[in-house]
Amino acid sequence: MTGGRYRRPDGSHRVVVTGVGAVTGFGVGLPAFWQGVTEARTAIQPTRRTFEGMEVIRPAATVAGYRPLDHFSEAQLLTCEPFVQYALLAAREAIAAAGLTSADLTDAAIVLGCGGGGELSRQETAIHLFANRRPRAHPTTVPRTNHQAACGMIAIEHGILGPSFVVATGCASGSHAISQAAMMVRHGYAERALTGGTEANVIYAVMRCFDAARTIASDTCRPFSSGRSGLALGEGSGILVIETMESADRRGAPVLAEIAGFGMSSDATDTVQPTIRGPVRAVMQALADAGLRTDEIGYLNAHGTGTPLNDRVETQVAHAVFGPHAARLMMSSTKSQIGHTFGAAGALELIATILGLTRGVAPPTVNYQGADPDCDIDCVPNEARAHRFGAAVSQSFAFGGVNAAIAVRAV
Amino acid sequence: MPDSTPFADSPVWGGIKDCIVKVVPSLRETEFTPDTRFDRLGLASIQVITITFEIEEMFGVGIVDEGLDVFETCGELEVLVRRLAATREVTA
Repeated sequence: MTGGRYRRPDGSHRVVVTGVGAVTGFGVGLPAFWQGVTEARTAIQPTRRTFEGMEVIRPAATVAGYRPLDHFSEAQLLTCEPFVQYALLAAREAIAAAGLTSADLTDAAIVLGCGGGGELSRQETAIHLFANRRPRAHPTTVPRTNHQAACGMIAIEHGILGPSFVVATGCASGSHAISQAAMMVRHGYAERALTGGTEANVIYAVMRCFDAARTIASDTCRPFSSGRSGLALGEGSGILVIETMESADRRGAPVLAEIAGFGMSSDATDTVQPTIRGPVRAVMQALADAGLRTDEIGYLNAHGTGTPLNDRVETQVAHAVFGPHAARLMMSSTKSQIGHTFGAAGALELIATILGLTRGVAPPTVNYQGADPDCDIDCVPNEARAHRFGAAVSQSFAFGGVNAAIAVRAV
Repeated sequence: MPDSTPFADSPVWGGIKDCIVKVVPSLRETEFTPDTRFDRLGLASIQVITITFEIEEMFGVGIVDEGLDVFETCGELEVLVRRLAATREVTA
């Protein structure tokens, strides 16, 4: 069937989301995530990591109450780092929610974002080889640290034979991965895909490294707020099942939202200092790709790291893109609740956006303690807001000056 | 360790058992004999490789380096580790 409900103006497939799964600082599962979001709680707390008498305590959101053996066998755990485990759990939930079986997934694509891969095993191997001066590395180091282990283990568990790969663009990985997967489904390379992102690197070395980059908050993550001082680390995974609208209708699947458009860009200026032109280009492209006017966007899930510079620049981006409509736009940061989950961030934040779209709730920015004149936007401070919106944007910006934005629309 | 020492009382076997349980905790209560075959324990190849690594670390020997990771039973492994450890001591 062509045209009408199933095709975009250019003849390519419309792409919809039919299932989502999440692992976050609020725990395993989408209900825990959404409950935490709507109750305006934060999973961020002072988190301690140690190495041989040294310790570092920084704000972070790790997965509450997580017990690996509740979900995986010993043999699986030997080769699966937490970032792989979280992706597997979120994928199981998304697949079940979409009403799919393994038989439906044989030809599916898997495209995941992941920033660091298995940093935990890299850290342990470095200690073993260099600090302990041992001649042999642990034999699982390679399979545990590979970013693509997340894709591979999902493919193994569900018998998926289609293309699978990881996109590694740091904080923008999840948004880039979803954009790439949507592009593949749109143009017929796969009828459906598992996409999203995963990360689990709240470890001693990573805390020290982000500390050295002067990015971690002194207390907690307070995006767009006065007194904000940086980000909080987070871990988790968000996975979405996306497929053609035609496939969803044929299956009678529940459609949560349409991936209406996406945009990707580079700042081409500086590796750590964000610009306005790069993000503006990505968001404008996403809106144009979706065929949405700026005044049709009711909610924007910001990158919103909570660093003084990001939030100021991101506010300027909003004004540049949305003009007068920026004053009416609800624009919040889920990172205030689940921390910065890096490779998973774009995915989890898009999931929060989509649930907000389907349930008529704007997710909040928590930990907000007062206005900053540099951030003159409505960041939905401290309480989720019952408010229906028909279209929304989720955006991610990463070191290196790489950006991705995704526009979603109610169906 | 004289060869007459019962297998279960062998300190070398005790160390090997610790390595096995470190990698596969669910084998803690398993009864091992010298004839217990590794291919009957339901282990994935990566688990066997990792157990070998842990044994090398514990005893300071190089099983893989010598192309000897071909043991089939617990008894063969215990004899192999004992021999390699003794060679290391003589060399040292």
